[in-house]
Amino acid sequence: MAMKVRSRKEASPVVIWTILGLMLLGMSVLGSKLWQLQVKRKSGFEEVFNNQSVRRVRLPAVRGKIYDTHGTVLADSIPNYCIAIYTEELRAPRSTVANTLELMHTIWQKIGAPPDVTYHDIKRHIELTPDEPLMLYKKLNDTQWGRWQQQFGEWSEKHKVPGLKTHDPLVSNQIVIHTSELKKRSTTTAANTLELIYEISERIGVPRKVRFQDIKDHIYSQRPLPLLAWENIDEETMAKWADRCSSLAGTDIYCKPDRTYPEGEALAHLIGFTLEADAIREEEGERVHFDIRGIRGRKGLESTYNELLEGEPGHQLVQIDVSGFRYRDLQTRPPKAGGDLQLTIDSNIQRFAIEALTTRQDGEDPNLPVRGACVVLDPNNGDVLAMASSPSFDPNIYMQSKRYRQSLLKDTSARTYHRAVFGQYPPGSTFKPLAALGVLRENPDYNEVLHDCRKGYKVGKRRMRCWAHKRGYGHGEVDVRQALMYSCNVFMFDMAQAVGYAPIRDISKEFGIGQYAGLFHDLETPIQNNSKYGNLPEKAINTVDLCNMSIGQGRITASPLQMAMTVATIANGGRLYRPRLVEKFRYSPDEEYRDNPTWAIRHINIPSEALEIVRGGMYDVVHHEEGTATKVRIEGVKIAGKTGSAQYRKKVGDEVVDRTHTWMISYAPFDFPRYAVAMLVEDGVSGGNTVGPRLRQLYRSIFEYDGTLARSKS
Amino acid sequence: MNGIQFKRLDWAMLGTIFILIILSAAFIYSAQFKSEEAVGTNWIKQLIFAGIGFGAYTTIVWFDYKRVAQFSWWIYGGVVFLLLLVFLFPKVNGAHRWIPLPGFTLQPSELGKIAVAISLSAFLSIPGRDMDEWRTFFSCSAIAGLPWLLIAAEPDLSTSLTLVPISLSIMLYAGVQRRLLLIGIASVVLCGAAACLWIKYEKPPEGLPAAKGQILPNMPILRDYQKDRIRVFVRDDHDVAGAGWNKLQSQIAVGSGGLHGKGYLKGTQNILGFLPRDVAPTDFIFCVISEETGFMGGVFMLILYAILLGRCTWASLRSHDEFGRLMTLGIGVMLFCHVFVNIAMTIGLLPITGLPLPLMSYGGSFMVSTMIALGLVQSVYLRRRIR
Repeated sequence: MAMKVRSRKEASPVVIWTILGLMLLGMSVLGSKLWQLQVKRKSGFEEVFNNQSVRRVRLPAVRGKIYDTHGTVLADSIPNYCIAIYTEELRAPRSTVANTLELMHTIWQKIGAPPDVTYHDIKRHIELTPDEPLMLYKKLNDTQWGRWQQQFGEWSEKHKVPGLKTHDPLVSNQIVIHTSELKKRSTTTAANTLELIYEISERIGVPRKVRFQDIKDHIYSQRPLPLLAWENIDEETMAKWADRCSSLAGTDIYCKPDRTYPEGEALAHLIGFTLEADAIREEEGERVHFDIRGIRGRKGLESTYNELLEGEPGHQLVQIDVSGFRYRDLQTRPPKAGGDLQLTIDSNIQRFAIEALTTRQDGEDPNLPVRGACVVLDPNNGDVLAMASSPSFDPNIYMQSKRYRQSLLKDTSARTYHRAVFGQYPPGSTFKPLAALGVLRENPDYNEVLHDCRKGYKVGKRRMRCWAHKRGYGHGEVDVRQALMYSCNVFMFDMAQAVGYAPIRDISKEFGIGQYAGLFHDLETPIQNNSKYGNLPEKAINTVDLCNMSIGQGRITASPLQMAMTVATIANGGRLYRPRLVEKFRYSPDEEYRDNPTWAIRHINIPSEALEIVRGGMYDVVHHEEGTATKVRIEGVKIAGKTGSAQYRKKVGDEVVDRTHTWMISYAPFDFPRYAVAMLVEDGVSGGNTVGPRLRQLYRSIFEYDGTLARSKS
Repeated sequence: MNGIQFKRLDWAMLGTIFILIILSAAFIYSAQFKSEEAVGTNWIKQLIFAGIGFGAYTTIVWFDYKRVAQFSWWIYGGVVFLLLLVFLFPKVNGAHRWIPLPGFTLQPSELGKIAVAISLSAFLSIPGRDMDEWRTFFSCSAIAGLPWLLIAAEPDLSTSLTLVPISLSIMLYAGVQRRLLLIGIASVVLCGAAACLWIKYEKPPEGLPAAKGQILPNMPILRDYQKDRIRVFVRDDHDVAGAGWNKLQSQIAVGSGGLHGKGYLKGTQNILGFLPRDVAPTDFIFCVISEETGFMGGVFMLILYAILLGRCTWASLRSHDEFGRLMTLGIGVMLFCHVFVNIAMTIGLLPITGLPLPLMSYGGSFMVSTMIALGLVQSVYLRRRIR
């Protein structure tokens, strides 16, 4: 029998060497992959790494102030004290109260009706009887009940909702939760925040203001920033907070920059207001993840000079961890405070202007707001001393109350409308001095010409009468100066027909009627016509049109500011100044102020004889027995003026009614003028009666204020 | 022949082990480091485990490894008993893998691998064993198969899979049905590749949008979480917020390390928690190392492991007898599997598995069992053939 040969294969070391070779091959594969990842593709991974862990925060700068010419603050940055919750610090251990509150709010969101338990109830329940069920809703109505059943079905379909038993929450229109089930659950940041807010609310006695959804949104997208649970808290609340809540973790007082306007309504149109800034546009390559919103000027000077006032926001690079909590600050560039403006406005004169404008005269409806505007200029340099529009609004309320903003939209008297600049009105008879100047410049002899103001007067087939016909007479034969004093229309008609439209148009253009006043383009009515005369009509279509325009009606319109510039130019003898609002400015609070120079737009060549005649006529308007504005007269001051009453038709309901815009332009003192005023009241009786007394009051206040007149005993 | 002759010790291997242990403590400290105030204590525990492991190491080196061959069936029986015992304890993270003991938890599957290497080597090195007999082949399969089944049932698929190359390399070297084994290996590799392709193009699980070409029906056998790992591996964009998160974050960590790394204790991926804190000191320790020390550090680690593996093979070549040769080879392959699979998954070459990095990853029973294995190698080398 052949013995089976032991076939022991020679255990050659080849297998071992092969295995070692394979091992080393494996190691070098790892090494080459490592090279590829770490060296060749490094930057790609670094970018991914930065994207997921570095966040940029924008920090707003303190906004600059606006002062009046004497340094009185007109717009100020004030701290708005808020109670802030730092959600990052709320990584507290599990809390049954927090879980209960979170569940309660989630149910509340689903049903849309507040539950029947308070925070106090929940705390007591969990303290005393934590194992008993807690009744959240005692009696739901059928709609709520239906909604709940539907929502709960969807909610509990995917997973079990702890604290809610799937079978028994649906009993007799009640919702019951089992707090014992919530005991062991770890709490979310939202739940902790909710508990903290309830706790603070209970301690300081102020109701909760943020909604659960706000909290969740904040934690989701803005976690490293403070959540402002209460804004604008008063000192009492702050004291209570300091007294009772300082032991709580995760809450602090946060100071948010806010804007206030001490003058309130008086300068609302001119200065404007601020609102929360828009989410900022992403600069190229620089993504901003967390934007602590600053404020941004939205109207008036706040908007025009926003760039100067708002300063430069700072930036902060923050590294966050995987849950969005701040790990460390990588880099901070502090914000640069905004610059300041000092205006030419004198807040006293501004106040006088408002008071004068809004004081009601006899026979005016006390229930309707006075609609009008008043501009006071310094004729010697174009400084705007006052610029008032009425009715006005309170920017301080406007910024805070959405309801107020909405109510303003419905207000028929257009409270936010800046009448002094944007308002375009037919200037009426206040245009006559200008027309007269134009004619006298072309024909110096027109001084001698007399025209007869008859009772009946026709231009072509159309009757065009002097306003005096209402009193049953004409003015008779009048010259230029008398025509201005009487405000005689017929004289102007005849004069216009005799010399044509061109001289009137040319001088109006030189005075800036129909042109930009030179304030700032975004603050003025845009000019639509593309002709070199701007909004000023280039030609008269026919004689009626010509006659209408000669008395400042028809197609001629001007803003109160433009009429103030006109009268200032007449007062100073032909220098048309750009209205200057900003006296000085600086780009940062550490800098010196820089002057904003006065600037004459042009010198208008007017013969002094013509000027003398027109000024004389305007003097007579106030001081002559038969002048139209005798109500302006003040003992001890010589005043020149011109009234205007521009008729227009307006629809009131279905009726078309005739209404009158009443005007006065004026300057004073007559010999060395310091003030040039244009005042307008919509829908008045006549220039002399409606505006005259107001103008007198304004002058009286101003001259008492600057010492020309002794202060009246009052 | 018990006792230690210091002159004959493999000092290169011992030195490498010491360096690795020190690095391990340092990087476990770093993986837990969040700030000066928040420092974990796991690195101390790791040093304690290393101390216990070194005790076991010294003991094993002291004893002649031939004793191990004599007791191989007892060892095998004990480990199988432990593997059965595991099922009596409640599931942790959905698996019966651990036996809770006071102070630490025992993971018998780690010992299982060594036991298989020992008993297989002992079985095959008995003089007169006929390698061509089918009985030998089936016995070998049974020896490796029983722990394999038990570990796979825990379930711990990745550990059970490392049993395959260990057993295969031992059997191949011994010469058991070489042709069949090679054919088997080739077909398994093919099947694996086919399975990966299938999973790549099968319909995605519910809730995830189907990418282009994902039309094949669901593959049986594998469970969804196992498939998920393969999906993450075969599709770069698979469920980045969920199953793909660890892979992506680990790649970002390694990739952002660059050539020189971010510096010790400055591995932001792990400080900021993008690399999950529970896996950073364990399965993803290599990720922490290569983020903080960069390519240079990573390659240094690879070289250390290459030295370790080279010394194991060298011990195998110089072994005095067949048993020592087979056992050290098996242990070398086991270490290699761990090193390769762990690092490869960290850098995205292989699907994410739970295989720790020998001597580096935090964990008591793995540290001790690795030290036992290395002690066996040292013991074989100490009693080597002298030329």
